[in-house]
Amino acid sequence: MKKLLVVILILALASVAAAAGGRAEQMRETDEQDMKISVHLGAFGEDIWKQMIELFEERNPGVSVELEISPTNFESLRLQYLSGRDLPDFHQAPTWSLDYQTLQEEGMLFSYEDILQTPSPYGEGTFEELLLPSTLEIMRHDGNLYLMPFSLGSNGLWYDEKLFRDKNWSVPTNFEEFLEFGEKALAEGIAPFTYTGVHDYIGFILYPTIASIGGVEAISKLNNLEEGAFTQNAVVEMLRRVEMIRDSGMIQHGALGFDHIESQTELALRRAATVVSGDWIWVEMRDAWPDDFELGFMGNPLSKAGEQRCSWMHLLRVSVPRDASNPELGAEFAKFMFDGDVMDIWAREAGVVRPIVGADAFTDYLFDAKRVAINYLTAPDNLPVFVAFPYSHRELHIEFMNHVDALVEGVTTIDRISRDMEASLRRARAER
Amino acid sequence: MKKTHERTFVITFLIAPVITYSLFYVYPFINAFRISFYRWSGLSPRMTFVGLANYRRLFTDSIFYQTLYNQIFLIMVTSLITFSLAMIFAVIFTSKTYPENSFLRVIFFFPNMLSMVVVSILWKFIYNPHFGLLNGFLSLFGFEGNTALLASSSTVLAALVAPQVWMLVGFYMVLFIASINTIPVELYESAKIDGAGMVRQFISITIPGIWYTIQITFVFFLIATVSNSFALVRVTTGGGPSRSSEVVTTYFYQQAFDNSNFGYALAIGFVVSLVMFIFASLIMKYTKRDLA
Repeated sequence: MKKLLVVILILALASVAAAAGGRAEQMRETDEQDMKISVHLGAFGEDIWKQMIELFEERNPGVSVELEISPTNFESLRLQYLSGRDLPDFHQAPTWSLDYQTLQEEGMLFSYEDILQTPSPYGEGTFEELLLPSTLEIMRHDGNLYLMPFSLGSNGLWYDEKLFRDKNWSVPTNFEEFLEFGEKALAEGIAPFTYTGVHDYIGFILYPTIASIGGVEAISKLNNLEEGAFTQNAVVEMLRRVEMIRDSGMIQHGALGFDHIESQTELALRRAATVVSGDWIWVEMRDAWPDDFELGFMGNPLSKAGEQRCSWMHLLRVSVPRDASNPELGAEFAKFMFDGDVMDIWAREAGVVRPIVGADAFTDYLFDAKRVAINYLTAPDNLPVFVAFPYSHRELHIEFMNHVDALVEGVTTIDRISRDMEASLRRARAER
Repeated sequence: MKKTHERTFVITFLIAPVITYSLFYVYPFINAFRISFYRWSGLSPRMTFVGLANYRRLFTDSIFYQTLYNQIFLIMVTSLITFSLAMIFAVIFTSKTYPENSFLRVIFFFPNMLSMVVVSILWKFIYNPHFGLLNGFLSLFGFEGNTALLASSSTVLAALVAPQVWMLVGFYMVLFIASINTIPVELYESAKIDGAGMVRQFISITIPGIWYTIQITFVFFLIATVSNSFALVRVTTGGGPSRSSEVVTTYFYQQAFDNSNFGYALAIGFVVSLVMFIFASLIMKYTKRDLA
C-alpha cells in the first residue's frame, strides 16, 4: 500500500512537472517568432541587411529572421506570389523588377495603415507623421499604403565639375542657358549631352519638364490616361525642346545605341559633358572615374526661365505580401527601418536617406554628389516630381520613350508621336 | 510471337520519352494556348476570360508585325550567310590537307563555345562608335565619322547578323566537314576522270551527298536564330532604337514580365510557334529528296 502511494505520488509529480514543462514550451513557442525577408543583392550589398537582422533580433527577443538575398530575388518573388507559398514577410526589389501596380491592384500586398498609426520610431508623433506627406499621398492606393517609401533618390543630369571649371563653363540652370552651354561644349569638341537609348533613363528629365511646363496636372493627365494627355501643350512643348537639342547637334553621336554604362563611361572619359542617370551613378561607376573627376548634379535644365523648376524624385519601395505567414512582423521590420539608429547606419554605409520629415539630419553622411542631388531635390525653388506613369502604365511609357528615340534619330515627327500615343492611350483605356 | 515481343520491347522503351514529352512539352503548350484566352498578370492565380481579345489585339498590333518581320529578317539573312560561309570553309578544309587545318578548325569553332550573352557583349564593344574595333578597322580604309551601327534604325538589324554568323559558322562548318568526309573519295576520282571541274563536283557530288545534313541544318538555323536573337537583342540594343531591332521573343518577354500581360504574351508565343512550325514544315517539304 505504501509502495502504491509512493508510485502514485511520483506519477502525480511527474505529470505536474510535464504539464509545467509543456506550458513553458508553449510560452516559448508563443514568444518565438520566425520571419523571412527577401532582398535584392546589388543595390546595398549583403552586410547592411545582416546588420539590420542582428539589430532587429536584438531589439525583439525571440524573433528569428531568415535572409534570402540574391541579384534575382524578384524572380523568386514572382513565383512565390503566383503559388502563394513560401512568401517572405518583407521584401525589397528594384522598382523595375516587379509590377508593384498589379500587386496592389490584385490585392496581393499587406496594408501598412495600421502600423502607420503607431508611435513613430524616430522623433515624436505617429509613424505616419514621420513620413513625408507628399510621398504618402503619391504612394497610397485606394486609401491604403502598400508600398512603403524606403529611400529618397534624385535623378537627372550629371556632369563633371572639374571639366566645367577647366573650360570655364557655367552650370546651366534653365533651357536657354543649356543651349548656350551646348554651343560652347561643341566648340571644344565635347558632346554636350548624352544618354542611354537602350534604357528609359531620359524620362528622368522629360517628365519633370512636362511638369515644369504644364504643372503637376499635366503629369496627372498621363497617370489617369486622360483623352488628350499626349496632345496637351506640356507634352508637345517638351518634345519641341528635345527637337531643338537634337537640331543643335547637342546629343552625342551613337547615344541611341548606348546602354547606361556606356553613356556614363562617355561622361567619365570626358567625351560627353553631361549624362542622364540616377543617383546610383557614383557607386555604379566607382572604378571608372578618373582621379580628378568631380561628379556634379545639374538636375533638369530643360525648364525655361520663369517656369517652375521640377526634378525627378526616385522612391525605392518595400512591401509585405498579404499572404505572408507573419505580415504584421514584416510590417514591424519595415517600420524598424525608420528607427533613428538604423537610418543613421543606412545613411553612413549605403548612402540612403529615407523620405521623412527632417531627412536633412542624415544627408551629412552622404557622398558629395548624392548630397548635392538630394539638396537640389529638396531645395525650396524645386518641385520634386514622383512620376507614377512609367510604373503604372509601363507599356505606354516604353512606347513613349521609343517615340522620343525616334524623334532624336529624326525618323518621326511630333504630330505622329501625338497621334500614335493617343491611339495607344485609347486602347489602354478600353482594356482598363 | 516474335512480333508481340518486338512490340512490347518498343512500347517499353517509348513509355519514358512519351511521358516526359507529354509532361514537359505537350501539356505546357496546351496550357499556354488555354491561358492565351485569358487576361492574366502572372503574379496571382486570378485570371479573367477574354475570349479572342488577345488574338484580336495581336492581329492589329503593328509592333507585333514589326517584330515578326525583324525575326524573319534575322532568320533568313543569318541562315543564308552562315550556310554559305560554313559550306565554303568546309569544302576548302576537305578539298586538300593543309597542316594548319586542325588549328583553323579550332579557331573557327571557338566562338560557338561562348554563350550568346558573351558574344553579344563582345560585339557591343566592337560596334562602339567611339572606341570599337569596327571604326578602327574602317578608318584604315579612309572611312571616318564614327559609324554607330547599333544607334541607327536603318542599320541595327543588319549589324545584329554579324555576331550570330560569327558564332554559328564554325559549328556548321564542322557539321558539313563531317558529312563531306562520308562521301566516298572514288566518286570524286571518277568525276575527275570524266572531266568534271570543282564546281561540277560540288553541285553533283558534294551537295547531294550531304543533302540530309543540309536539310536538318536549315531547321537548326531556324531554332538557333530564334533562340539566340533573344539574348543578342536584350544585351546589345534592348530592341532599339525605337523597336527597330525588337524580335518576337523579346516582345513576348516584355509583355509577360515587364507589362505583366501573360495572356497576351502567350497569344504571341502561340502564333510565333505556329509560324515557326509552318516554316519548319516548308523547309522539310521543299528539301525532301527520295532515297537513291
